[in-house]
Amino acid sequence: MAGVTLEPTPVSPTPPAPPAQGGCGVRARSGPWVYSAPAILSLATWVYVPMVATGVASLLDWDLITPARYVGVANYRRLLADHDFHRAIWQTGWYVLMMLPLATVVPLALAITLWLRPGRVSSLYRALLFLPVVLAPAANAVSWQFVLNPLQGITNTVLADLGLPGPGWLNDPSWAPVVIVAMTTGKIIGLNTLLFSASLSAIDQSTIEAARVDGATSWEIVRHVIAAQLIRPVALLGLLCVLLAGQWVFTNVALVTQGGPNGATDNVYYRLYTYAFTFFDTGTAAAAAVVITVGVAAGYVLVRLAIGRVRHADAPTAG
Amino acid sequence: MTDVMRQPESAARERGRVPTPPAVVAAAPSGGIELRSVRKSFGSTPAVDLPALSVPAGSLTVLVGPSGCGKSTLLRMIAGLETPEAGHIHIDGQDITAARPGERGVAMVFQDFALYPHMTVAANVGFGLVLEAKHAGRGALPRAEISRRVRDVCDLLGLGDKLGRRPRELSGGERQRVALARALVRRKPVLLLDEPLSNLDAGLRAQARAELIRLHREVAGTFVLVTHDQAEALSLGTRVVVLRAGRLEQAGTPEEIWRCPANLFVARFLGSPAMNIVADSRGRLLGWRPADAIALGVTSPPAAPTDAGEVFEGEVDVTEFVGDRRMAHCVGDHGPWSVEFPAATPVAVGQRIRVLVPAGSLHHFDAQTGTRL
Repeated sequence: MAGVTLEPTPVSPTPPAPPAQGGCGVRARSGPWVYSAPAILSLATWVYVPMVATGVASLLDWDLITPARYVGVANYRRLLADHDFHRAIWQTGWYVLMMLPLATVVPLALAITLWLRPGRVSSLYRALLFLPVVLAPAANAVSWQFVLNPLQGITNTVLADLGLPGPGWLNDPSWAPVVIVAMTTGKIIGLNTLLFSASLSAIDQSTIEAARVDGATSWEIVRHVIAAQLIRPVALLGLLCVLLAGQWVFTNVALVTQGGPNGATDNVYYRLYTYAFTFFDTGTAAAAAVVITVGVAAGYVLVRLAIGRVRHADAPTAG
Repeated sequence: MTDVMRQPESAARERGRVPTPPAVVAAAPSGGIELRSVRKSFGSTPAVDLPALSVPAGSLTVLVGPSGCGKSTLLRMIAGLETPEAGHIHIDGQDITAARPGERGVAMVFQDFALYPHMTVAANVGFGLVLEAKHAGRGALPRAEISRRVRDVCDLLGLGDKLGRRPRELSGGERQRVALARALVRRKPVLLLDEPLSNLDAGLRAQARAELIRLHREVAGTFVLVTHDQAEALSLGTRVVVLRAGRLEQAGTPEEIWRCPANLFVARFLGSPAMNIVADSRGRLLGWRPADAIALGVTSPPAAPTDAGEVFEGEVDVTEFVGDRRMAHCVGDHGPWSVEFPAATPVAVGQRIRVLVPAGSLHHFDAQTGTRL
């Protein structure tokens, strides 16, 4: 080792010339593809191929058993004239509107309240809020059915003891969708409260003290300092709600009401399921899937535009 | 107070742009703080226990002490972020012990700056004013006035071209100046600064120190600054308050505290290298600063007390080169001590040296209580 000194490697101004061997260059070029192949393959298998297949199926008259027959856009024409589908679309929009505050504002308020009052009680409360999230959806749905049974259910028994009339919760077209939303939000509120709590823990406590010294009232601190820093997660969960509210309620609709009474709790996802697995009308179901995808994509774009507008007005301005 | 401040400002505006726009200059300093038997503890540990402490109006008072001495708690009690268990705090004669933080005439710069991450620089600085305008009602503080004041203070601190940035797009020094701007723009009589320089790197810190002194001169309000760095305390403060374990050890000008430390703790805490403390034959403790000793050469008449001062003899254990000086850490007859020589002085490890400490540079302390004799 004697006499060996460490010298900085001279930095060549131009990158070294590519090796003459062709093999190396090919490997370098194919490298990214090799590494991303598993992801691309699984995406293709489970997403892209089924999407294309759905598009193709929407042009066929096919009951999964007898040979398929090409019918052009007849499925779409029938679907868009179907009153059940129209009602399902309106009903889905209603679910979105009902779920939107329950998925954003309410969990946000809960998370901020719990965060502002840390302690054993708030930890317990947070755990209780989260409990419905880990319940199996089917078990959750079935137990709600017991609770809300018009004759033997505990809800109506208690109401009767109080001398109040108990509605037929799941048979009454005006109550059934509300019940479905209530069943679903139990989970959504717990989960979103937890997500907001995670975002809140990233907030620097001293910004709240700074706001107090700046003369902000408690409400102004919550609004301008805490909630304003959570615009991103709120917007994200709002977006998710718009896109997924129909899917969130699906389990409860399928297990508890099957879309009834008289279509009052229907939504596009359950309608699609009905076309496919009750009527075995694969073509119409596929057409519904295409229509829903287009609708959801449109909803996504609209919400992103709305978020962009909100983000520009998220703080009081000066100068 | 705003009226007092506005007057010189408009005069300056008539002269056009001046190098240091005196946007926040007060004519007479205000913001004197009085603390009376203020006490606060966390659990069973007393954090602050002060019979009386006053911060003169217009001073730059530095609260200094080792970590856990209660200096930050004290500052936070003045800010209203902590409530004292007992005692009263007065600002300009008004009892503000129970007032809300926003209503006691204080602004604060936080250690980690505590900027609102979702707001631009302009919104950060203007937040307090926007709220003030809202609370005061329509017309009290017009929007144009707010943005003018925000712009002025940002210009003063060199942030004029950063108004639209968010905190994460700024450097550490810029963030610190935004925090300062946010506090200054509200024109409160008292500005509290909690370790404002500790989050800056060394080079920037020296620069920021000078800027703070200049700013204090221009603003002419009362600054209360917390630091654990004794050198920073001495160089920044017009008044230094040394705290330990929640109690006042000494308060005075930096010169007073440096020349006459009230007790052993203050003597040891101030100065780097620290003061030598050596027991003498009469059971007292003698303190002297390493720089105050005069080398007596290395030959040996035995050490003896003289009228001119005290002679110490010891063997050099470690030498340290510190730029223009050389430190020698010695083992003496009565314990270890250190001495500073000019860098050219030849001192070798193992050498016996004798130093004379002039009587005027000697500090005497009681061995039991540690108080100055």
